[in-house]
Amino acid sequence: MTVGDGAALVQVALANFKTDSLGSKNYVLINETVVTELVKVE
Amino acid sequence: MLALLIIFTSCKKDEPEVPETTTIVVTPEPTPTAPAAGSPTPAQFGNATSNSDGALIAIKITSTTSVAVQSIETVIGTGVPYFTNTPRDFSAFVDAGALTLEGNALEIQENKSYVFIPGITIPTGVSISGGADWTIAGAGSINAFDASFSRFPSSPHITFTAAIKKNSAYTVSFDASSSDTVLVSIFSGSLSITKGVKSVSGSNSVDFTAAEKKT
Repeated sequence: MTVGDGAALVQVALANFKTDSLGSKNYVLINETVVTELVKVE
Repeated sequence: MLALLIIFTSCKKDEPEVPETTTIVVTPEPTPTAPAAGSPTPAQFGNATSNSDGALIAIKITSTTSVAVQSIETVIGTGVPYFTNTPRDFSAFVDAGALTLEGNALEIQENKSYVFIPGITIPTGVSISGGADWTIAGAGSINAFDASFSRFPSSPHITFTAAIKKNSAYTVSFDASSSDTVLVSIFSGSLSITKGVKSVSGSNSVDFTAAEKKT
């Protein structure tokens, strides 16, 4: 079973973020956790 | 069979803005293929990205595949950073020199974004445990710096995986820890539907209507 052939991918993503400043520049740091599951499509 | 979709909406100077939008993307392709790990685009990151000069994204991906009566879980760690010369202008990325995530070198791509590509020697990618430590060598207008971010969300658990019925609504249910934002997506062939929702610790559910699924 593959995605697009009777199946879909369900995904849940959680993200935390913060900004670090360096001089005049701001950089966003993101830590993300992603979970995916293959689900049948009928 | 992995898909990456990343979102953030705030910074430490402001209260997080949680996206409450629905993004439906249809990419015409002659042959449906499974979504692959790819570089996120600034448009997926909301307002906070538009005020930044770059993003350092550490990603921990857990994929579950059911074989017979067993579930096989695969965990891969990777990073996708990018930089720009002009805040709010992410039409073009710039070279920031050599980058590492947890001591692993990332590869610069043709569009000047970076990515860690798991290979034969490290098939599960970057080992991400407590947080993400970055080193940026710097190049051009990007000065060298180190960055560290320890707040990594716990992996959510999808609790409802019944078959998706065509022409019917579908609900994704999951348990999750508290986080700054949550993104729920369905990928099928060339169609992807993504919803940003407020983070709630514990049980959550997101509904996809039949009309959305037809798009």
